[in-house]
Amino acid sequence: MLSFGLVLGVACVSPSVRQEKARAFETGLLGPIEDGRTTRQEVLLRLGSPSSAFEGGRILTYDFVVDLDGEWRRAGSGRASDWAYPHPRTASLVLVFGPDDRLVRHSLVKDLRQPDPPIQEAAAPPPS
Amino acid sequence: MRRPPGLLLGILALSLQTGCLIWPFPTGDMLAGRGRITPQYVSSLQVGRSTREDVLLHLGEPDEVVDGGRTLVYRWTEVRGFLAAGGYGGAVAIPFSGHRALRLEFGPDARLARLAFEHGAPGSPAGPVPAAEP
Repeated sequence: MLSFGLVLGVACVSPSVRQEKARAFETGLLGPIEDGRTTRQEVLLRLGSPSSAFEGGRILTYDFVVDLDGEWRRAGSGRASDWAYPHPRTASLVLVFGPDDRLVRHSLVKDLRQPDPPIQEAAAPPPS
Repeated sequence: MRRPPGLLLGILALSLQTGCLIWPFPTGDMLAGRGRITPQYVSSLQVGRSTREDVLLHLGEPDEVVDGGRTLVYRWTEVRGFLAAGGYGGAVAIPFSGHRALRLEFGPDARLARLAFEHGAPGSPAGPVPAAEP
Protein backbone atom coordinates (compact mmCIF):
# COMPACT_ATOMS: atom_id res chain seq x y z
CA MET A 1 0.00 0.00 0.00
CA LEU A 2 2.82 2.35 0.92
CA SER A 3 4.68 1.65 -2.31
CA PHE A 4 1.46 2.19 -4.27
CA GLY A 5 1.07 5.56 -2.57
CA LEU A 6 4.68 6.45 -3.28
CA VAL A 7 4.26 5.58 -6.95
CA LEU A 8 1.15 7.74 -7.14
CA GLY A 9 2.96 10.56 -5.37
CA VAL A 10 5.81 10.48 -7.85
CA ALA A 11 3.59 10.12 -10.90
CA CYS A 12 1.03 12.77 -10.07
CA VAL A 13 1.56 16.47 -9.72
CA SER A 14 -1.12 18.44 -7.99
CA PRO A 15 -2.88 21.15 -10.01
CA SER A 16 -1.65 23.84 -7.62
CA VAL A 17 1.96 22.79 -8.09
CA ARG A 18 1.40 22.67 -11.85
CA GLN A 19 -0.12 26.17 -11.80
CA GLU A 20 2.72 27.47 -9.68
CA LYS A 21 5.25 26.06 -12.13
CA ALA A 22 3.35 27.63 -15.02
CA ARG A 23 3.35 31.01 -13.28
CA ALA A 24 7.07 30.76 -12.54
CA PHE A 25 7.74 29.82 -16.15
CA GLU A 26 5.72 32.75 -17.45
CA THR A 27 7.29 35.24 -15.05
CA GLY A 28 10.78 34.06 -15.82
CA LEU A 29 10.16 34.11 -19.55
CA LEU A 30 8.31 37.41 -19.91
CA GLY A 31 9.89 39.36 -17.06
CA PRO A 32 12.87 40.68 -18.97
CA ILE A 33 10.93 41.18 -22.22
CA GLU A 34 9.70 44.71 -22.85
CA ASP A 35 8.29 46.22 -26.01
CA GLY A 36 10.34 49.15 -27.33
CA ARG A 37 13.34 48.23 -25.24
CA THR A 38 14.38 44.60 -25.59
CA THR A 39 16.65 43.99 -28.58
CA ARG A 40 16.90 40.99 -30.85
CA GLN A 41 20.42 40.35 -29.59
CA GLU A 42 19.23 40.19 -26.00
CA VAL A 43 16.51 37.73 -26.93
CA LEU A 44 18.86 35.49 -28.87
CA LEU A 45 21.42 35.53 -26.08
CA ARG A 46 18.78 34.65 -23.52
CA LEU A 47 16.56 32.18 -25.34
CA GLY A 48 18.89 30.83 -28.01
CA SER A 49 17.85 29.95 -31.54
CA PRO A 50 14.17 30.48 -32.22
CA SER A 51 11.88 27.63 -33.20
CA SER A 52 10.90 29.54 -36.33
CA ALA A 53 11.53 32.86 -38.03
CA PHE A 54 9.18 34.70 -40.39
CA GLU A 55 9.43 37.66 -42.75
CA GLY A 56 13.19 37.69 -42.89
CA GLY A 57 13.60 37.27 -39.16
CA ARG A 58 11.30 40.16 -38.24
CA ILE A 59 9.09 37.71 -36.34
CA LEU A 60 10.62 35.02 -34.12
CA THR A 61 8.74 32.25 -32.35
CA TYR A 62 9.80 30.09 -29.42
CA ASP A 63 7.85 26.95 -28.67
CA PHE A 64 7.49 25.42 -25.22
CA VAL A 65 5.84 22.27 -23.90
CA VAL A 66 5.00 21.18 -20.40
CA ASP A 67 5.99 17.75 -19.15
CA LEU A 68 3.70 15.50 -17.17
CA ASP A 69 5.46 16.68 -14.03
CA GLY A 70 4.55 20.27 -14.84
CA GLU A 71 8.00 21.40 -15.92
CA TRP A 72 8.15 23.66 -18.98
CA ARG A 73 10.86 23.20 -21.55
CA ARG A 74 11.73 24.29 -25.05
CA ALA A 75 10.12 22.13 -27.73
CA GLY A 76 12.26 20.53 -30.38
CA SER A 77 12.98 22.85 -33.25
CA GLY A 78 11.44 22.23 -36.61
CA ARG A 79 10.75 18.49 -36.58
CA ALA A 80 7.64 17.53 -38.49
CA SER A 81 6.32 15.48 -35.61
CA ASP A 82 6.51 18.31 -33.11
CA TRP A 83 2.81 18.99 -33.36
CA ALA A 84 1.90 15.52 -32.19
CA TYR A 85 2.67 15.88 -28.51
CA PRO A 86 0.60 13.41 -26.55
CA HIS A 87 0.17 16.02 -23.87
CA PRO A 88 -1.20 19.11 -25.52
CA ARG A 89 -0.17 21.75 -23.01
CA THR A 90 1.98 24.13 -24.98
CA ALA A 91 2.97 27.74 -25.13
CA SER A 92 4.34 29.75 -27.98
CA LEU A 93 6.22 33.01 -27.53
CA VAL A 94 5.93 35.28 -30.56
CA LEU A 95 8.25 38.27 -30.83
CA VAL A 96 7.94 40.99 -33.49
CA PHE A 97 10.89 43.31 -34.04
CA GLY A 98 11.03 46.72 -35.66
CA PRO A 99 13.57 48.03 -38.17
CA ASP A 100 15.91 48.98 -35.33
CA ASP A 101 15.85 45.37 -34.08
CA ARG A 102 13.94 46.36 -30.99
CA LEU A 103 10.86 44.46 -29.88
CA VAL A 104 7.63 46.14 -30.94
CA ARG A 105 5.01 43.50 -30.08
CA HIS A 106 5.03 40.18 -28.31
CA SER A 107 2.58 37.53 -27.22
CA LEU A 108 2.66 34.32 -25.22
CA VAL A 109 0.02 32.03 -26.70
CA LYS A 110 -0.98 29.34 -24.23
CA ASP A 111 -3.40 26.46 -24.35
CA LEU A 112 -5.56 27.00 -27.39
CA ARG A 113 -8.06 24.47 -26.03
CA GLN A 114 -11.42 26.11 -25.84
CA PRO A 115 -14.36 25.06 -23.67
CA ASP A 116 -16.93 25.41 -26.46
CA PRO A 117 -17.99 22.45 -28.62
CA PRO A 118 -15.83 21.10 -31.45
CA ILE A 119 -16.02 22.75 -34.80
CA GLN A 120 -18.72 21.55 -37.14
CA GLU A 121 -16.79 21.67 -40.40
CA ALA A 122 -17.43 25.38 -40.66
CA ALA A 123 -15.23 28.35 -41.19
CA ALA A 124 -15.51 32.06 -41.47
CA PRO A 125 -15.57 32.67 -45.22
CA PRO A 126 -13.50 35.33 -46.83
CA PRO A 127 -15.52 38.42 -47.56
CA SER A 128 -16.39 38.89 -51.18
CA MET B 1 -37.99 -22.08 -3.82
CA ARG B 2 -38.19 -22.64 -7.54
CA ARG B 3 -36.85 -19.86 -9.83
CA PRO B 4 -38.77 -19.03 -12.98
CA PRO B 5 -37.03 -20.50 -16.04
CA GLY B 6 -37.38 -17.19 -17.94
CA LEU B 7 -35.19 -15.40 -15.42
CA LEU B 8 -32.54 -18.10 -15.57
CA LEU B 9 -32.59 -18.07 -19.33
CA GLY B 10 -32.30 -14.29 -19.32
CA ILE B 11 -29.27 -14.35 -17.02
CA LEU B 12 -27.71 -17.06 -19.15
CA ALA B 13 -28.29 -15.06 -22.32
CA LEU B 14 -26.84 -11.91 -20.80
CA SER B 15 -23.78 -13.73 -19.50
CA LEU B 16 -23.03 -15.11 -22.96
CA GLN B 17 -23.67 -11.91 -24.77
CA THR B 18 -20.93 -9.73 -26.16
CA GLY B 19 -21.66 -6.41 -27.67
CA CYS B 20 -20.13 -3.67 -29.69
CA LEU B 21 -21.23 -0.09 -29.66
CA ILE B 22 -20.08 2.87 -31.69
CA TRP B 23 -20.58 6.10 -29.86
CA PRO B 24 -20.19 8.76 -32.56
CA PHE B 25 -20.30 11.83 -30.39
CA PRO B 26 -17.23 14.05 -30.27
CA THR B 27 -16.11 14.87 -26.78
CA GLY B 28 -13.75 17.59 -27.87
CA ASP B 29 -10.89 15.99 -25.93
CA MET B 30 -7.50 16.50 -27.48
CA LEU B 31 -5.42 13.51 -28.56
CA ALA B 32 -2.55 15.45 -30.11
CA GLY B 33 -1.61 18.91 -31.13
CA ARG B 34 -1.12 22.25 -29.46
CA GLY B 35 -4.79 22.95 -29.10
CA ARG B 36 -8.16 22.94 -30.75
CA ILE B 37 -8.84 26.15 -32.63
CA THR B 38 -12.47 27.11 -32.97
CA PRO B 39 -14.10 29.54 -35.41
CA GLN B 40 -14.90 31.71 -32.43
CA TYR B 41 -11.24 31.90 -31.46
CA VAL B 42 -10.19 33.10 -34.92
CA SER B 43 -13.19 35.38 -35.46
CA SER B 44 -10.97 38.39 -34.80
CA LEU B 45 -8.81 37.52 -37.81
CA GLN B 46 -10.18 39.15 -40.93
CA VAL B 47 -9.35 38.25 -44.48
CA GLY B 48 -7.82 41.19 -46.33
CA ARG B 49 -7.06 43.02 -43.11
CA SER B 50 -5.19 40.84 -40.62
CA THR B 51 -1.50 40.37 -41.24
CA ARG B 52 0.78 37.39 -40.77
CA GLU B 53 2.05 39.16 -37.67
CA ASP B 54 -1.49 39.37 -36.26
CA VAL B 55 -2.06 35.67 -36.95
CA LEU B 56 1.17 34.58 -35.31
CA LEU B 57 0.60 36.78 -32.28
CA HIS B 58 -2.90 35.31 -31.90
CA LEU B 59 -2.28 31.64 -32.68
CA GLY B 60 1.40 31.17 -31.91
CA GLU B 61 3.80 28.99 -33.80
CA PRO B 62 2.18 27.08 -36.66
CA ASP B 63 2.61 23.35 -37.13
CA GLU B 64 3.37 23.66 -40.81
CA VAL B 65 4.88 26.47 -42.87
CA VAL B 66 4.39 26.20 -46.63
CA ASP B 67 5.88 28.27 -49.45
CA GLY B 68 8.16 30.26 -47.21
CA GLY B 69 5.37 31.40 -44.96
CA ARG B 70 2.69 32.08 -47.60
CA THR B 71 0.63 29.38 -45.92
CA LEU B 72 0.51 28.56 -42.24
CA VAL B 73 -1.22 25.42 -40.97
CA TYR B 74 -2.28 24.63 -37.41
CA ARG B 75 -3.12 20.97 -36.75
CA TRP B 76 -4.72 19.04 -33.94
CA THR B 77 -6.33 15.67 -33.31
CA GLU B 78 -9.44 15.31 -31.22
CA VAL B 79 -11.75 12.54 -30.07
CA ARG B 80 -14.60 12.09 -32.55
CA GLY B 81 -16.30 9.23 -30.77
CA PHE B 82 -15.78 5.86 -29.13
CA LEU B 83 -15.87 2.24 -30.17
CA ALA B 84 -17.00 0.29 -27.15
CA ALA B 85 -16.98 -3.50 -26.90
CA GLY B 86 -18.11 -5.46 -23.92
CA GLY B 87 -18.70 -8.97 -22.78
CA TYR B 88 -19.12 -10.94 -19.63
CA GLY B 89 -16.57 -9.76 -17.13
CA GLY B 90 -15.08 -6.92 -19.07
CA ALA B 91 -15.41 -4.08 -21.50
CA VAL B 92 -13.22 -1.75 -23.46
CA ALA B 93 -13.76 1.64 -25.07
CA ILE B 94 -11.41 2.88 -27.75
CA PRO B 95 -11.60 6.50 -28.90
CA PHE B 96 -11.42 7.14 -32.62
CA SER B 97 -9.72 10.28 -33.66
CA GLY B 98 -10.39 13.05 -36.10
CA HIS B 99 -7.63 15.16 -37.59
CA ARG B 100 -8.38 18.82 -37.96
CA ALA B 101 -6.45 21.76 -39.33
CA LEU B 102 -6.71 25.47 -39.82
CA ARG B 103 -5.04 26.71 -43.01
CA LEU B 104 -4.24 30.37 -43.47
CA GLU B 105 -2.95 31.77 -46.74
CA PHE B 106 -1.34 35.17 -47.17
CA GLY B 107 -0.92 37.50 -50.09
CA PRO B 108 2.28 39.25 -51.19
CA ASP B 109 1.43 42.10 -48.81
CA ALA B 110 1.51 39.62 -45.88
CA ARG B 111 -2.22 40.12 -45.34
CA LEU B 112 -4.55 37.18 -44.78
CA ALA B 113 -6.01 36.06 -48.11
CA ARG B 114 -7.83 32.89 -47.07
CA LEU B 115 -8.78 31.10 -43.87
CA ALA B 116 -10.21 27.59 -43.94
CA PHE B 117 -10.79 24.74 -41.53
CA GLU B 118 -9.90 21.33 -42.94
CA HIS B 119 -10.13 17.73 -41.87
CA GLY B 120 -7.96 14.75 -42.62
CA ALA B 121 -4.57 13.50 -41.52
CA PRO B 122 -1.46 15.53 -42.35
CA GLY B 123 -0.46 14.96 -45.95
CA SER B 124 -3.81 13.48 -46.89
CA PRO B 125 -5.57 14.83 -49.94
CA ALA B 126 -8.53 15.96 -47.84
CA GLY B 127 -9.63 19.25 -49.20
CA PRO B 128 -10.88 22.29 -47.41
CA VAL B 129 -14.23 22.13 -45.75
CA PRO B 130 -16.80 24.35 -47.44
CA ALA B 131 -17.10 27.61 -45.64
CA ALA B 132 -20.30 28.48 -43.88
CA GLU B 133 -21.92 31.85 -43.62
CA PRO B 134 -21.13 33.60 -40.35
